[in-house]
Amino acid sequence: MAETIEPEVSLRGAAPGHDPTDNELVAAARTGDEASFTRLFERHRHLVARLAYRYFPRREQVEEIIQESFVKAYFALDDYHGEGEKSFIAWLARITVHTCYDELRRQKRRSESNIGDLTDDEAAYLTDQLHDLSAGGNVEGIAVSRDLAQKLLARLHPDDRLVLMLLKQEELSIAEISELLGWTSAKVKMRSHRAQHSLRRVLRKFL
Amino acid sequence: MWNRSKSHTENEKLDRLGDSLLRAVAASETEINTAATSPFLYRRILVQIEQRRRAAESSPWLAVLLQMRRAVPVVLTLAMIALAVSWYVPERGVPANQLLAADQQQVTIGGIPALTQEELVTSLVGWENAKAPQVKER
Repeated sequence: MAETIEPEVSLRGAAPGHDPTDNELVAAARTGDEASFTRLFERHRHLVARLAYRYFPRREQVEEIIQESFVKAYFALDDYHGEGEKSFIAWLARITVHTCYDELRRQKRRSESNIGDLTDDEAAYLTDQLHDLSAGGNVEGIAVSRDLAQKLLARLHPDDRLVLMLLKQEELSIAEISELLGWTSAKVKMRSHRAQHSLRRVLRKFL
Repeated sequence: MWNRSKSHTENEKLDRLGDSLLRAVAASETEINTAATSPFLYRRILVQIEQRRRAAESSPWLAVLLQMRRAVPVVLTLAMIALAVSWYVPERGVPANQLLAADQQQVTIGGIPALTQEELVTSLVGWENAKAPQVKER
């Protein structure tokens, strides 16, 4: 059963029927209006879940990321100074990506995730597919399951994985990634170059 | 040359396969919806917020400690600068008239200032002068 949230009050003093903008909701939430924060959560929880699924395959992990991201956002509301229509989305996405990054690094540090371990069947399947590929097969013909893709990507360094995801999946530019992560453009370029090499190395092991 | 071309083609294929891996990890809308509308998710967020707020209120020293931790690099830098300054400056900082000449340097023996070379010579001369009349008298 999905949780339904019915905000008791939408926005203090807001006209009935008026759909408040994110910035208006943030301003109200800052003054302690919990219902406004509830509406922000309802609006953007899918965005956070979508981003989290790029890095974590399990639902429990994704829920943890959603939870942590919104808690962080709540305590950082005073730091939000966005003015544009999409500012809040960008700001929340930044918090979510950082939360994912922290979690990836934590997992790597504690080596608590054995997700990178392929089963014998998966390794055999991948080896067959890649041998076909080196023999002139078609890349597009290779069907990679999400589970297998997650396991292979888990072998990358968190920085590499993050940059590759943002670059290839979110299709962000170097400048956008640089702003999102607070890294210099040179660092993003270097990382993306290394990440590409690392991914090739991971795949080449099965050739 | 042929090897380089082959390697280039292989890299291209691996890159395309890598791209398809990155695409493959995207979740379906159903999965995203299920996680986003998970029961009690928002309740858990509110509980977390309350817990952290209480923790911050009940232990304000924690916030002070966190602030202090941020200040550690600055304090360390200042300490190193102070150490470096104290290391180099004394010789330049002491006025010239207070510097003792090499032969006038004061030596202490067991904490008691010893006589300088000059004082020693003077006292010896004085002792010789005092001794000379006694010899004549004999």
